[in-house]
Amino acid sequence: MTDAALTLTDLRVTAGARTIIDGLDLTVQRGRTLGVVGESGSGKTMLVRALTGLLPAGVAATGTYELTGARVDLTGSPRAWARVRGRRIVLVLQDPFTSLDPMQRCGTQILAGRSGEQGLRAVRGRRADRDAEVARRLAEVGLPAHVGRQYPHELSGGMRQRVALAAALAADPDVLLADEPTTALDVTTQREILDLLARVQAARGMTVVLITHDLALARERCDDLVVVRAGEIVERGPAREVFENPQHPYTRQLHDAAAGRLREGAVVGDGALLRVEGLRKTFHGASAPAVDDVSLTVAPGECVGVVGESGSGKTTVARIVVGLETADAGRVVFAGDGGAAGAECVASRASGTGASGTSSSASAERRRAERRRGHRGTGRDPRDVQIVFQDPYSALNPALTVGAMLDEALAVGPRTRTVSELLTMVGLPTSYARRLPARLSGGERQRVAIARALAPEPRLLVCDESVSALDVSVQEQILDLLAALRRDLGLTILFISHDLTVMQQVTDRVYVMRSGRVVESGPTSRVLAEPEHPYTRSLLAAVPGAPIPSTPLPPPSDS
Amino acid sequence: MTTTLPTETGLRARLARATRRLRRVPGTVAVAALLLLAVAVLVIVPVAPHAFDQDVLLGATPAGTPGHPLGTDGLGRDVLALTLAGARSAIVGPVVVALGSMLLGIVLGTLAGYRGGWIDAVVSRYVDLTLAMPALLLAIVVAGVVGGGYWITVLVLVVLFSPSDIRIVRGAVLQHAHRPYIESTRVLGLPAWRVMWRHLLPNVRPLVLTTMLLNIAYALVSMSGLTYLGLGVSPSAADWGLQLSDGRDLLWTNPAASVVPGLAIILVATAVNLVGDHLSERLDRGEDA
Amino acid sequence: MPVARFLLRRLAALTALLVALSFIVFSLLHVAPGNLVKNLLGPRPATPEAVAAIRERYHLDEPFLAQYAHWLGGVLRGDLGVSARSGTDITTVLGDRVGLTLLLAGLAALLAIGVGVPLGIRAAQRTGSLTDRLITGSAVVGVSAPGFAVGLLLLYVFAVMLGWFPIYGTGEPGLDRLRHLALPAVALALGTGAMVVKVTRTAVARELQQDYVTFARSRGVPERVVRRTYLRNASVPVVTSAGLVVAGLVGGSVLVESVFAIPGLGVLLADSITYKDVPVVQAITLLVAATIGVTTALVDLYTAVADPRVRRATVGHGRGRGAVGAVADPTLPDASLPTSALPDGSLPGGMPGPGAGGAA
Repeated sequence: MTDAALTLTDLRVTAGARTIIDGLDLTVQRGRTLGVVGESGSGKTMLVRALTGLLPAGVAATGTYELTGARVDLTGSPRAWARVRGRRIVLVLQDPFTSLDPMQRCGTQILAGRSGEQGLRAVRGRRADRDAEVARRLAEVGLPAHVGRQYPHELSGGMRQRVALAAALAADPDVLLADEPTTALDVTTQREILDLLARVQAARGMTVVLITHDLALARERCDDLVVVRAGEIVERGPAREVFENPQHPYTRQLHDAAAGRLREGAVVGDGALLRVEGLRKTFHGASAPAVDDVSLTVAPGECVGVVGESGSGKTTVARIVVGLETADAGRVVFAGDGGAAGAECVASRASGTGASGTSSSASAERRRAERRRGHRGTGRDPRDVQIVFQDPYSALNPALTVGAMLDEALAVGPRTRTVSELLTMVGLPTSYARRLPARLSGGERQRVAIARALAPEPRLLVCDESVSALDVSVQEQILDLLAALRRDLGLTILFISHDLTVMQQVTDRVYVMRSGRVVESGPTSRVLAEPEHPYTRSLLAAVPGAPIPSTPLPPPSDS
Repeated sequence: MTTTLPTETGLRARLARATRRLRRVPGTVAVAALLLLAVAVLVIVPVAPHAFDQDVLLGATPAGTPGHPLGTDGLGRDVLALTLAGARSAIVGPVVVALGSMLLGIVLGTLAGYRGGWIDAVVSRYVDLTLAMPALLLAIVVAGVVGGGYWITVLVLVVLFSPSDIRIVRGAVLQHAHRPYIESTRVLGLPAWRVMWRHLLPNVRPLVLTTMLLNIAYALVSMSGLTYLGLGVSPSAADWGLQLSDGRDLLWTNPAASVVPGLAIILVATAVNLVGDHLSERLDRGEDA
Repeated sequence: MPVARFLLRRLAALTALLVALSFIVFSLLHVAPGNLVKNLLGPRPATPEAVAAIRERYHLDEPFLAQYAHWLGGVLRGDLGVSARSGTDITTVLGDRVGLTLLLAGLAALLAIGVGVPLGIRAAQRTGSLTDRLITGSAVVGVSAPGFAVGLLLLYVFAVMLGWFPIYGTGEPGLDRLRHLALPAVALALGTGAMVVKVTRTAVARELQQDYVTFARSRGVPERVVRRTYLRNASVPVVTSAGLVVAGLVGGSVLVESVFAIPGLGVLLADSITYKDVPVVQAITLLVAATIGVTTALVDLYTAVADPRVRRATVGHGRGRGAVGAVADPTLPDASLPTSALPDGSLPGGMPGPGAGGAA
């Protein structure tokens, strides 16, 4: 087929006495893309760091690899590495917000990568030459020349990642290592960057190693694949084969993503448990509203999704529903048990539906609400609504044991359960009551967070990106847990996520948000199969492995 | 990191964790802690009852004089006994300063950070103003002008130290207030005092302890500076700063009279700083200090 | 002009601070026990006429606020008043001594920065090494050692024991004066220098861990270019914190001057407090506060000019860059950056006075 661009032999990475990678061999074919797939802690980042000799302090690597006509010793001197980095091999990092020097113009940073004589000439050459070189490099990544004179903070995340790519390509490397290059970006931007990378790779005949936790992305973008777990390669081969005939249980999980799990056995009632009408919120100092005239309903027993990219306002809606933010206008109404008049928990009652909300009585009401919030929680009845947040690591008070935490939450409600029962309910051993959060894994913490949210027996559970920070395998477990809870307890869920795949697995109905507005809503199966709004279509198209073709997207209406 | 323990909060597990932590303490820090322990004994137990015995006829004698291993000062007082007795003046005041200013820091910082609103506005304005003032200078002026004794000086230092404590606590509280675990308590409808007392304070506590320790060192250094100028102590008191200024004229007859208390200040302050720095480093690494 | 507006705002804040400070000091001296008239009379007989003349001259019979107004009015006219003790013009009294104190503080600043910054950088570049531990260890001792105690030790070792340096006085202007000020400058610089080491080490170590350093190295940017990059990024917190620390030297010289019997501002202040010489104490306090205020403003100006992100946020404020202005930049340092760069939020001279410039 093709020859090897990089052959790694016997890589060992150790941190003090701990072994991270113990004897790993790897071959990357010239001009192809190798995907390195693994969950957090699998050692995949250490692998690429070792290949550039840039391991964090306290971590050491041994081993060698062959590039075309060069042999690299991983324990090499700085002088030896200087001959390799940039011209032979280069590493692009995950976070475009931190990988560029904030104090230098983008053009200077792109030129700085042109090491050696050629680079010095470029840097010291005439200004016009330098500008032309910068413009050429920027054009390759699809950016206009004036970006070279801008500072990184003046650019969006996607543009920064393009600049980073231009800088990485400045020395014309043979092999490009990309460590989760799109994980920090929105799904549509993600697609653009990956397309660009593929284009550049084809034009240059470059070899790419793509590190990712996202199996679907790897399937779509890579020619060959290695699956890494605990510092070992558990599966390798051409991407198609690995996916069609997965050997390792971990690789099989992609196929286990069964749709509709939460709907099994769940009974959706009539009427609306939650009614949100004409919600509007502009944050202090922001030019555009974060939430602009959003209305939605959730029926008892239903699981409703709100999907959108970062900045779409979906999280703000969730925070207003639970009372962590106060809306400028609109109302949030929880139905009474009889479904009659309804016990109103109002953000700003007097402003009415869709009204501007600037009347004095409205602001007085809001002041009262804020005062109430200061004294006691949020002004919402804790038995109406509870929330599970995204980050399991900051969701639990590090100073309290799990038992103390749950007991405190039980005291809020009718206390029909015990701490042990709560723990059993979320699939944790009862002995965990004595544990501190520091001794729990991410998935276990999220289970405790769910148990805490369910302790007061709320009528509505809001999940704000509650599985987004988890590894794929853990994500599946938590989604299964939510499905079971929904079936057993008749739970009503408002599920916020950026992830369409998760939406599809979990929700009955979905609202699609963009720039603070709901652009489309309906049954999940319908919206995802036959999207009406172009934005929904572009979102779907951007999902790795999506069958729907992309269409040009009009700019948001309010910009 | 380490293997999972069967019980997490049992006494045995706590002891095991404490032992593991102790093993990671560097030697210098251990020595510093021992020194502080010795100083604490000096403060609590009056070990130098003869510190104030004067032998005016004897006057200043060099180190090695029979009965006076470190000699005597200008008033014929034994330098060793005086230095040991001075530990109380050197430690008690700074500890009270650190405690008092941190008490203000916790109360005002937590209120300002968690409640916000006008409380925050007033407190922050006050902190900004006082922090911009030349503190040591102001302390000298106040202590010198108001006169007053030791405890007035301590009070002045409490007031001057508190703004930075308020700012530190407020910053930490602000940082925690928007973490999900605090927001969860709000969604649970827990009252504000309970959130502050049970959820915020325990998580700010390591930072508070570390800051207090470092404050003790700074208070020690500044108080001895004031007493060196003769402020806040009676001229016959046993105090290291005072000993230094008295001993300055005896550099030829008995250098120990000023060198020994000088070294005492430096040693004790260094020990406190070493322990404080060590704790703060562990804090940065995310270990519970 | 955005820069002009920025400076104007700082000047207004500084003025407000000085007025507040002067008021505090004025009230303190006013309520303090002690008899000013007696001090002023000195050995002369306390005839009713003499007492009345003094009360008249210093407006002592007028209400407190009127006295303060008299003084403030004088300051605004450039008249700091007359020393209550010696009767000489304060400008003259200060003039003799300001130069000496500034020379001492300047020498100390030179030492503290010249030695502290390179040591801090070196320690950060070798984090965890023996060099690093030696440097940080010495810095802890330095921070803990008050200038007057170090001064006395230096005096004993180098002047009394070894006889290399003079013990008292300031000598003739020129090299002789430098020789006289060498020990005091070292004593004064030690604490500040140690703080500069800690600040520099923290700032540089933090920059070294940033992604942009890793990324630059990975694409083969020459190490000296990488070094220049991270040092420039570290310079903002270093200048901010070190500037404040160094500004505190003027105030910190009070104690050191007294150890070495240098007739500078510090000794004058100590004497003036003893004699309740209100105008002189006022003048010195304000002078020191103004030095600190001006340094703080200069430091802020540096931050604003050096960092393009802050440049837009502060100096360029109000110029309006359209809708993007509201977008939060995750890389922008938070407001507490200068303060947090101090390892423990404290300044030497024994006072925990972070960020805003509380050392003196």
